[in-house]
Amino acid sequence: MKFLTLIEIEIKKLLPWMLSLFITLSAVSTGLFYKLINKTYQKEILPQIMQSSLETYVKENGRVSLTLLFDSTPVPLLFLLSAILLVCFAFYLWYKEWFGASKRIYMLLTLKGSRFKLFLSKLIVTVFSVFCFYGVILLNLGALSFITTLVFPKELIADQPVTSLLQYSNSINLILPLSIGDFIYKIGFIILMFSLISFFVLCDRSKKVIGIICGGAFLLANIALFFYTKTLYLYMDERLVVDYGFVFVMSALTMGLCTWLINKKVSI
Amino acid sequence: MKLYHIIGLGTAGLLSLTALGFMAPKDQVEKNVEYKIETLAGDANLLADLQFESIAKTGPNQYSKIILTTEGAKLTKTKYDPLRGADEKVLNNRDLFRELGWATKLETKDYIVLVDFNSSYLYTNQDPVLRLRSKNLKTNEIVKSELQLSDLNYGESTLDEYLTEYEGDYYYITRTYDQVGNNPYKLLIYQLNPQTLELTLKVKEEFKNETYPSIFLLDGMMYEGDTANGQLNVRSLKNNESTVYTLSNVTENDYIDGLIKINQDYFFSMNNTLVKGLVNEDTKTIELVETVQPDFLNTLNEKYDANYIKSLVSHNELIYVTYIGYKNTATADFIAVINPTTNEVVYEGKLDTSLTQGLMEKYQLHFNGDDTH
Repeated sequence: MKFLTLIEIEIKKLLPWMLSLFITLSAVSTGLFYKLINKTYQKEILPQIMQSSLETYVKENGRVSLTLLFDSTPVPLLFLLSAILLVCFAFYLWYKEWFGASKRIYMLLTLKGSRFKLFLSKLIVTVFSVFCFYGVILLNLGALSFITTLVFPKELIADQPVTSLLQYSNSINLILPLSIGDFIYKIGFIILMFSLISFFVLCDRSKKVIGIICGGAFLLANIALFFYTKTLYLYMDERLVVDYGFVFVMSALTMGLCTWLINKKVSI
Repeated sequence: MKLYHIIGLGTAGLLSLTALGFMAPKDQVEKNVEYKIETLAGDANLLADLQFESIAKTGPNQYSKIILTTEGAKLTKTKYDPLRGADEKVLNNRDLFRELGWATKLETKDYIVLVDFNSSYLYTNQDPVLRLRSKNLKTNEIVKSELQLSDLNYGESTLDEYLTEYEGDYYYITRTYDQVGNNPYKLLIYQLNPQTLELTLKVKEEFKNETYPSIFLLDGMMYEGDTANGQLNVRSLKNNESTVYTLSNVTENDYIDGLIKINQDYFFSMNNTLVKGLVNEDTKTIELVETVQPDFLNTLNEKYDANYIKSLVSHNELIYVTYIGYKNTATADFIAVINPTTNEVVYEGKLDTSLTQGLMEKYQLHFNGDDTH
């Protein structure tokens, strides 16, 4: 079976879940954002404008920016949780093979050649679904900007809302990579998360109880190590080296373990 | 097998990345016209000697130092660590500042000195350790020391810490309290050798916790403003000689937030109001009289949820007072220049500090040629 066919199979499995997530995220985030900024406008800003004038308000307080509104709502958190959920769909991509009606995994495991391409096909689909997620976030930011124009008078809104948000927001860089270096780190982090989930599943499929314990322990050890690196008193550039080191060393190690498990330990 | 799904996902993914690439901000400092000092009243030339400094986020991973004068704002690219609140000076002296980013700091022309008592003592650990560090600015030598203050009993911790220098002598001052409640509150004054970081105890005395005086250090003198007892204790750090003045018209609810001395008179920031203290050396009394107040105080009181005096500085026999006002949607800095001789407000101005400016720190007032702020 060709590698592209494997990818096509994975996309078909993921697509309904991915679309459901994106649609739900868009609906919830825009709805919540509208509700919260409308409340801010009606309760905090409008009374001040009514007391003086729009011009006076702008002179005294400056104009309202999408950045400030975005950072003051839970919408960035929603985006972040969605990104994590998207990577966690990897559980579904793996277990669907075993627990689905077709039991296709038995056919896949008997294919000639390295079984690593099973891992790789799921990884590529996950990474590309994250790319699409970035696009959905950008569309959502456009929608949030549009909602802002519906709630606030035009004269009250700062210029270039979305580009300004990408530049000044303190929370957007948790979600979107805004530089090449950050892009590489975030992709590395996604690969690590996917690999850890895959390691847990493959351990489970190799040895029932001991496998789950080993997989869980390795997962927790990684999480502990990640948080340990965060407790080190490091400055930003030093932290960058530690973060990159952690992500790429652990990704390589976990992918190596996954390859070993799927080729040597997972049996039909 | 037809690969429609691959083509769909691949195209969507690559389009998303392309859009992100186009929309992601480029690394460049753009001058933002919003950074300015707006003159509300008076002669702006009175601000010719001063500048306000802050750091603003000007890109996804880029920060700029803002130098704000009456002529406008100058932005220069700088290093800044938002997680640690570390500016270029800290980042260039990491060995000195590591883990002591928030320590009490003194910078003279010869040394940078840091001191920090382990504030988590008895909460999360059992180490009543005082960490001291210094950097000789002429030789760049860094000295580090950790010691246990022998003048502290078990369970005693620091309330506050101060560092000052006068005529080449360095002093470390701390007030302590007993977390267990067995020992009285204490004032400890040490002379500090910045080269060896050795401490020599100069003063050890008790004070009552219900009178918690505010402390100010100016020109080798320590001022303890004890409004609960209506007193100002002026102590020479060199010989520990004290003079106690009685403060008129104060109640135990008053609190002194700032103090400067011009000629023989004191100016206090008391309960966020500028007050003049007229000294009578014969009776050892200080009569407190309210000075003229800037007009913008009405705006601050009416239109902001909270406001306070941020800094009180004297320069060329003028008083420079900066105020800050807060509300949910905005903050604002104001500056007033007061001539104490004529009791006039000679300048009033406003600094635009709207949240869209991306300021990472509050504006600090500096006078050209010194580090006063």
